[in-house]
Amino acid sequence: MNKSISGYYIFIVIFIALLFLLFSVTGGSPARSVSGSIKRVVSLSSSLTDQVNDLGAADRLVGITMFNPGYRGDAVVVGSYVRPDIERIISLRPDIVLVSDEDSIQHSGPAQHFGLRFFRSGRVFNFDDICRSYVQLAGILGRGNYGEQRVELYRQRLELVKRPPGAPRVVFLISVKPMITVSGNSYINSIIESAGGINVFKNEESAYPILGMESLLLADPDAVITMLEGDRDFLAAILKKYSRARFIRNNNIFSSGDGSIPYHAPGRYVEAVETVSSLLVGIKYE
Amino acid sequence: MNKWFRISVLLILPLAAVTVGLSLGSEAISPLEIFSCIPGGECTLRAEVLLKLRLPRVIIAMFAGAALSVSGAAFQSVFRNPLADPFITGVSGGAALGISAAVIAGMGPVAVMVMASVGSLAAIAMIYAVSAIRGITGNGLVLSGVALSFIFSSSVMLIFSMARSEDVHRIIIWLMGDLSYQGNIPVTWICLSILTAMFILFMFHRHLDIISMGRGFSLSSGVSDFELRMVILLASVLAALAVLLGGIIPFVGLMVPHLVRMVAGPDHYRLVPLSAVAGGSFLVLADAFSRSVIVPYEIPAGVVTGFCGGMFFLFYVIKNRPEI
Amino acid sequence: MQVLFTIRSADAGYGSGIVIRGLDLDIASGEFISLIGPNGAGKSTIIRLLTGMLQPVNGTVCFRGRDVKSFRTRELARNFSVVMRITGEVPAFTVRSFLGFGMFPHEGAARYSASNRLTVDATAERTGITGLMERSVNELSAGEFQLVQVARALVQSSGVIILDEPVSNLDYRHTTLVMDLLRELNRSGTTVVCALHDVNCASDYSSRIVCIKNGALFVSGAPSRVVNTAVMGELYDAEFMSLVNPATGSPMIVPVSGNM
Repeated sequence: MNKSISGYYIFIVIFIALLFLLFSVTGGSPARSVSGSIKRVVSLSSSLTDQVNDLGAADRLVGITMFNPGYRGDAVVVGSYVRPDIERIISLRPDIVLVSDEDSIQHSGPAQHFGLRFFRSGRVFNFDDICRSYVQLAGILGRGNYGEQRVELYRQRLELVKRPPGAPRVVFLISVKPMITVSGNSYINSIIESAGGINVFKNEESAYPILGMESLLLADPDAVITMLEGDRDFLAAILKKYSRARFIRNNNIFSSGDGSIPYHAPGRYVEAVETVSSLLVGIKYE
Repeated sequence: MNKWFRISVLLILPLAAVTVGLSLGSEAISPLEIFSCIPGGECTLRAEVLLKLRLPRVIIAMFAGAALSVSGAAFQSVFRNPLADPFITGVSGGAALGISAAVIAGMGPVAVMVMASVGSLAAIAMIYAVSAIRGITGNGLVLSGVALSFIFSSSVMLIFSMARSEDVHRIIIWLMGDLSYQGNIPVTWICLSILTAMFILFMFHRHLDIISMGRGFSLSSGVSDFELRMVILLASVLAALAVLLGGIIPFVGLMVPHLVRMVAGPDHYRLVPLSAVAGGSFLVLADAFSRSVIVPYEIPAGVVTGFCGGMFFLFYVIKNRPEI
Repeated sequence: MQVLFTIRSADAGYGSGIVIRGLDLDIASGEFISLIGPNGAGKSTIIRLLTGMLQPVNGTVCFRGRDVKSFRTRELARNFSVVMRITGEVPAFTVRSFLGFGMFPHEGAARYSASNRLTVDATAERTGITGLMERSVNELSAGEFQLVQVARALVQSSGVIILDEPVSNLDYRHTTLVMDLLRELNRSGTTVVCALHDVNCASDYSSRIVCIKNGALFVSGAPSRVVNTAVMGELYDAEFMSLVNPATGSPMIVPVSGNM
């Protein structure tokens, strides 16, 4: 135990060195401006992947997330729903990264630091919002005219499948355990209304409020639509005994399937309206 | 442990860990590629990934691991409890509550981190108030920390029950430990603060030696209650800073000081620096492992340290069974 | 003789209640004082009052004429040292490091200096524990550890040493070693204040015995005046026989059983 500087002070030196290193490498780089067309696309949103596919630009996708209906291609999965693998994304050298406020969770931070360019689609509440974002995306991909044409097509189809508003009172359940429904702050509400239904929980604040069983029963809807089939069977089984509830008495529990509704793209929207309205058209209600 | 052995451990261990940390990831890249970025050369993409993505992350892991270990070592001495960890004063609970409240209020990423700091500071302030009012005797502070943790985690559960699933998911991911550098926290400042706090605790090594013998002993040896409170404060701040950097990463602060004590003894002159270096290196290696084992998924850092910690403890408990 | 400690009309206690009432006590430099009394009488409380670990609710505790409250912790530690029971697990410091703790109030946060090392070695020799220097304190027997504790106290302050029941759990040999060491230190000028369980031990070694009953001073004086059946009988509410210790010549009491 002498008073000289023994080796332990080295640990301070090491950490100071690391600190300097950190300081020097954590400046962000400016976004690289992309000249020319977009050839390599990474999509961090299943809906946006679907839109790219719909725009006929699927061959440009180099990176996607999981769960992409209708897409067949060679793009690499770049991470889970929650956490995209930044290294993977960067090594794919994308010209643009697509993110959506609706269904991407972590995005901009690291991408920004690498000077990647990205397209951010904001929250959508109805068909018009979805189309607007779709056309924007089309423009970026250099297929603006094509995008507008397709939108026109979808609008016409929508007019055909739309039903007059204000008939059966509907509760739409994204999941049953936990019981999550949709409010007016979700585009799914707009699908229900286009299909002729009234969303019982339209006026809730949160876009996807969590429901208790009591609230569901006391709301006494004419019909309950679940997204997943398994949920429908489960719900019907556990609610059998509540014969005072109209939707149970009349056996108006349906399942819409999850092929279209979770994806906010114009084509899927129209499909979803078709599905839901066909469910609602035949129901008996008092 | 002679001088050269010590110095080599202090130097080689972190260098080795940093090298491994840089090499591993979604694909293995040789750290030497960094040199292609020297001015005059053409920086390859892989080198850029190394420099701008992996290097900050490795350094952050080094600082977070060091902070957690030194904090844990200090608390184990102050509370004379081998099970003490950096979160014993409720700092992690406060941060978790701050983050949860911010996420469901829809705040942006920077604001969320500010709220995390606010939560940690609230926890530290409460513990400090308790120690001022009630004194530092016996198990009072530990129990207060436990009580605070329960209150905080219940509040977080309350928030979960009212939040959207994506928000809940987001919060949980952070709670499990996330060392990625996202540009929403001033990492350089935080690391500088960590360095300062560790240095001060290192300067307090004689105080810590005496404190580890008990409060009565400390007072009669000349270590005042004020100095004791300062140590608790510093250790809490280190824990809060580590949580800001990388979420709640368990076991590093619990396990590393134990290991270092077994090898180097209880002298804080050795314990503090060796814990810092060992803890930082361990977290760097754990993080490298978590990033590379099932690409493209990333195991949260807390999961890897939790496994290692659990196994270490089983081994420790079995090894130290009392002779009957 | 200089008065070191002065307690005047002190009331003191812990959260649950007052333990010491109206205590007056003087301790002069060079004395070997033993505090004796039944369990719960307040001996440890008085030790805490003297060392500044406990503040009196009423009254004053002064050291060298200044209120103990007004001293900084480190200042107090420079003036006297304390040997108390250490509860819980003891970390594995070497005896040498442990002795070095005694230098803390004099040196502060600085690393050990060369002169410090000399002091530690000299003290170890003086107290006869040189053979233990490289051992870990948590491996020592209770008796060895108490010797080491006294040595550390000596390193910290050779002027005043205060001890709380230092030999209560030791075997005969180590009890004698520790008490002999204290007596030798006292003869060289160290003031010793010691709370003791064993009256006869106090009788053998002290210059003055202070008896505490129910939180107040009962009687105080030289062993020859205090260690007898009348005083001890009333102090402990028990019956004793008194005799003279054939080995040491000090007064001695033995309890009489069966007649309580």
